[in-house]
Amino acid sequence: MTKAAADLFGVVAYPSIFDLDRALEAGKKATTGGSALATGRVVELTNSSGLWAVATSGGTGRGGVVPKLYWGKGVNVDSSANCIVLTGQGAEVYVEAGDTLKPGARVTFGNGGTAKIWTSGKVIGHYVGHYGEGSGTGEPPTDATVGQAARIRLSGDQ
Amino acid sequence: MSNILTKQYKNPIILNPVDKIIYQDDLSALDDSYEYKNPIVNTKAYSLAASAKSDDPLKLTEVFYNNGSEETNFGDLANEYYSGISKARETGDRSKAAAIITSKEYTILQDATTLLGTQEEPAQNGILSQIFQDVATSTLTGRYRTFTDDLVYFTNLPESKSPEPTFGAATEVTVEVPKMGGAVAITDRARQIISGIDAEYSRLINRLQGKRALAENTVVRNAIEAIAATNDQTGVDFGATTGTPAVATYNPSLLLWPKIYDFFNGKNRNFDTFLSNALPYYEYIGNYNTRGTVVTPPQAIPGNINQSIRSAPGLEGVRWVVDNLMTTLTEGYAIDSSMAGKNFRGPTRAYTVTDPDTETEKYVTKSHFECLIVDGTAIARVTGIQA
Repeated sequence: MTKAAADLFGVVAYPSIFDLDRALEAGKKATTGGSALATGRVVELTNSSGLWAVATSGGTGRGGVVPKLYWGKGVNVDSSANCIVLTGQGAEVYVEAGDTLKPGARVTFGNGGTAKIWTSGKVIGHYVGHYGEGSGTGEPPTDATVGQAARIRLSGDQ
Repeated sequence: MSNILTKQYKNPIILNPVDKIIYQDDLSALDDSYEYKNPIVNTKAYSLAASAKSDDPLKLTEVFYNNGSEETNFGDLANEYYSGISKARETGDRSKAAAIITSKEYTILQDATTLLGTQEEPAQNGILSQIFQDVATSTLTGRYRTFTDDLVYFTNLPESKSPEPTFGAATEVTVEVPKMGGAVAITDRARQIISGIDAEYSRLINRLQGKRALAENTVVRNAIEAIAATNDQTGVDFGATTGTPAVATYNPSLLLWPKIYDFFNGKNRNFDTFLSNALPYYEYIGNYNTRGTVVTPPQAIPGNINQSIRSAPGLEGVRWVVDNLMTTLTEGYAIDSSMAGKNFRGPTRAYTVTDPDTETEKYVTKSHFECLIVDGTAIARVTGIQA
């Protein structure tokens, strides 16, 4: 069975202290209807408000990804002001490719919480490979195309 | 004193490829070689005992080792489990039988929906590593040597002339055995709230071994397909037909096999294995020339022959390895399997890491495997066998 892209969005690649502990960040979000952050979406922090929201192309704020984990009771629902975001430098997570991503290439905010290839502006990380690629040279990474689940390594934010 | 919670490595084992014994592994940093601690089980003896099919299927004392302490007396533990199973069979108590399947107790919680059953997609892991012999290696680099047959025994020597000494030359290939590995992990929370997830975790660990086989077979495939083009032999299209009613155009018994025989015989090698995708095999056994004549009753053709070793009409003494792992339909490989390649196997390690800090458990297995063509004169690529 081919693993569906939607199954992978937000999956954290390594169950180590690095990805699952220090790379997770508790944050704030809006409480309006439809404000819940979908698993696997690239999200952006608006600096002036301190709120995370689904990223759009051209964003300049801090970047992160909503991880496919249990966040805690009542967290990241429309009415909740709380959310959990994977932001740590070096953490690897699957997101939806917004256009063609080249192995090793920098990625930036795409529309609708996707990741697209970087040409200018904010760098949120780089593309590492598909599921089952990039752990060694035996299964080298290949280009991710629109809609595919792409593993990105977050560059963190300064 | 409080308990100190640390990352734990549980049940680390390592298979010594040379003596085929699984040992307790020492996961501290390596010095210059792998360290094999107390022996646990002799896999060779286990295979023999398991295949003996006697009333006493496991001769436990010959298979498992005792090492002088309660914790490391694996023979005693095995006996205990074995009698536990026997008792479980008698009493119908499944918990005792379960002890040998998994060392962990778990409670199956009620799922919101009723799971009516499960099935597993068949794994297509390949059989290519069966073609060549294994070479067990405890070191991960070295050389493999093939001695050539060039000693000379002189004839018709003149009086007083002593024969000159001759020698056996050799060819060598450098062997580097790379590491491969896979892992499965689970969080404590998943264990607690997902019904039957522990069984799923165990299933994945078992499944990982199949994936290891697939990875090894892929390595073998890549080694075979990388042979030099100078080894190419032009084949015939087994499935080509001519006329009405259609009859096979080419007769492999006349146009191909003698050529392959010549290729090997000229090099003092022996053609014993042919390797291809499934489609060329189907076309070969459907070829009128190999199955008989046009009027011969239809030959029974197996429904699924992928990943099997077959015999073929008109090709006596040669096993035909059929595996769709091969990347092209149009090429086959004629092989002297005892000479052409070797599977180099290094140590295999497995352990479970539990980290109470992140509440995760991760099963890791790592192995070392490489397939090399050590004698390039003992393998030929046969092109154009299918179109």
